[in-house]
Amino acid sequence: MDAFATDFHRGPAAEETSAPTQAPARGKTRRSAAAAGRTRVKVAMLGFVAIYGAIAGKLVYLGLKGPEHSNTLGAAIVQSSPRPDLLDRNGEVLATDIKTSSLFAEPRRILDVDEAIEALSSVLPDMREPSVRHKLKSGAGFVWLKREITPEQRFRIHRLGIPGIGFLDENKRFYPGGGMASHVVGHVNVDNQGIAGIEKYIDDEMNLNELHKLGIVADRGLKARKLSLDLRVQHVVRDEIAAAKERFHAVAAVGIVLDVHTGEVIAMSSLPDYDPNNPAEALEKDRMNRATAGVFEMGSVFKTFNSAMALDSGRVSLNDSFDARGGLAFGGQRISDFHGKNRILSVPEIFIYSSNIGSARMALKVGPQGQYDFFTKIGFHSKIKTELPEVALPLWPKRLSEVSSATQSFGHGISVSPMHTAAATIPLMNGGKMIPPTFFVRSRAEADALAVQVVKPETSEKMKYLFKLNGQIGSGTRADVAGYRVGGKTGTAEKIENGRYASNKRFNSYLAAFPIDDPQYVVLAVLDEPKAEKEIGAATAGLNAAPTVAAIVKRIAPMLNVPPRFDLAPATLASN
Amino acid sequence: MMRTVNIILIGGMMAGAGVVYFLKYEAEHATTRVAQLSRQIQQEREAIATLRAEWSLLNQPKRLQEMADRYHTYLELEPLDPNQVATLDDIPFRQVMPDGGTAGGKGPERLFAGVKPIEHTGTIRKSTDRVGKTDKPEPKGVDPKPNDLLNTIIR
Repeated sequence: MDAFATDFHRGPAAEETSAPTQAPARGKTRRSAAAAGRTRVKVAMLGFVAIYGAIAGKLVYLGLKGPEHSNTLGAAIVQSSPRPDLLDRNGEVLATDIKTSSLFAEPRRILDVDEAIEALSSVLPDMREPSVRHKLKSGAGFVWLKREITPEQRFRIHRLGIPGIGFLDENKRFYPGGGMASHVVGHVNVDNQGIAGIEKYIDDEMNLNELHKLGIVADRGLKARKLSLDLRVQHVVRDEIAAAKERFHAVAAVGIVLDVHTGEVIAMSSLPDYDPNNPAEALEKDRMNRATAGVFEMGSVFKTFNSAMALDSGRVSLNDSFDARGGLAFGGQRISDFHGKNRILSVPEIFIYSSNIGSARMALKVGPQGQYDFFTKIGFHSKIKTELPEVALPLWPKRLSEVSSATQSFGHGISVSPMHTAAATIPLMNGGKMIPPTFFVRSRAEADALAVQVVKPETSEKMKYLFKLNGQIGSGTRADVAGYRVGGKTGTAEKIENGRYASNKRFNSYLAAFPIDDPQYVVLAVLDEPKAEKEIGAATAGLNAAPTVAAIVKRIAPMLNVPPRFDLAPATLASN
Repeated sequence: MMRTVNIILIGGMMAGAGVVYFLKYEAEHATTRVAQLSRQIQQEREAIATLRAEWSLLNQPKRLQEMADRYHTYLELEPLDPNQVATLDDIPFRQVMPDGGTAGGKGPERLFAGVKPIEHTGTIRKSTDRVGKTDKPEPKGVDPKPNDLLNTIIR
């Protein structure tokens, strides 16, 4: 090219030297022609300078741009959005991303479809299906053949060297615990987008899907999120409610452990659950999250809230007595006792003997409006404010009346989720502070900032006494664990079937706190339709839900650093 | 004169071209290396993520519980009982022999020697509390050795 350029230059130069000699002889026309020629040459030179300049500029540009180019290629390989790891409170992995390869084909570039299918099926037998042949013959630019193949299959297909077949690395969500915490953690779809549980929450919160649509893929730049769950406690709760569900032939079971001071959910399990590694299971009937997304008539555990309400109103004291004889009639409806004592009972006696009549009379003393306000305060008239998307709105009678107030006092006519029940127990055990439950780690200071005083500290003290009393001499004796001081309230509710309460279908629960002299944790165990064991004969909560709580507490107390004590005085029923 | 200047300039130009070529080559090399290293880092990170996933898979409480059950006859691992949890307050001092623990032979022989150990009350926690308060950490009748040991452990 240089040679050409110099050659070209020589031309006009030679012409110029000869021009002056010829100019006078040939006259004006000749001169103007020469000038025109020079202009033309100049234009040509400018043109060449521009072209070569552009080429040089482009070269410099490409030289500078080099590394950036390879980066964009790398990013294009990642197909599904990366997600932050989910860890438990001790840093154990609950959910993580692992890279998997997916097989794709570019049908336009495949030379021989039959040969390609023959070769592929030597590694992946399902490639013989007619749909694959159809895809490959379609002439499309890009088709997926199989998502998520193993590294070994990838290696073998790579070795086959089929043109037009390639792999893309994708992020795949993996849950090492399987169904361990499925209802908390949730799951993702095939594009790694969270569609349930905390997975969905972090997507909504961080707008991961939006980012991915914009093409911003911050691989590995995502900080792991720490959940409040304790993997070991979660396992124990799930293990024990599974054992109880089997032993008592229950159709479902729920277990919840909450930190009384921070509202953190230490464990939450609802059986039957599903394996988030196989999200299709989640769609099966019965596998719903009963702990937060199901509402139930909780039954006698509501006497806890009824007692707290009555004591907190100031109209009822622990020394008051109520007539629990016979029954309580409202028009055609009649309230009677399951474990009828047929005498005048003091407030602690109403609690430990679980008297419906006594509870109803306590509620009537406060009045329907007072009860409504109290239930609103402890969250029974709203969805739980927590991170989990699957939360249910409780069901309660829309019209205030004495009869509905009386039935609500022992947990009938109002349906709340088990999580509502456990969360409402927090203020009764920690000095009166209502703290919304959370699935992420939260410090005491953060919890105190959120806390709302809903009952007086004295009421909380009285409730601890009632829990302790019931755990030691009442219906909850089977929930006590030597050294760990478990106190609580049983609930045996009859389920509604065809609009009537069915006496053979029960919804049993035990709502507990431990250690009851200074409560740290609330434990709730629920068994749906447990059957009586042959040798015992009854299917009341004190015989199935309470021992489940005992089994849970015995195993989790050492993990949660609750020291056992054997030197505390037993609770006594104050004589009046 | 012009000739030497020209020669120097041509030499300089060639040297400059050489240096630029060399630098460019070096830079390209470094770029490749950077790309290679970042790819390697990426691969290592993925490997770590996979290994972590595997580790947590192997460490699942459920799996550990099954293992403990399966090898129960051999390992004899039992769940913790509340009675097995103790604090420093519950641990008494080792009983000390009057002559410093050497008389009366060693091991089982001592059982037959008929020498009664010095009785003293108090626990390790109480003793360590004293250690914290005074410079003279040795109460009477207490073997100095465990105290010294505790001193080194506590401080």
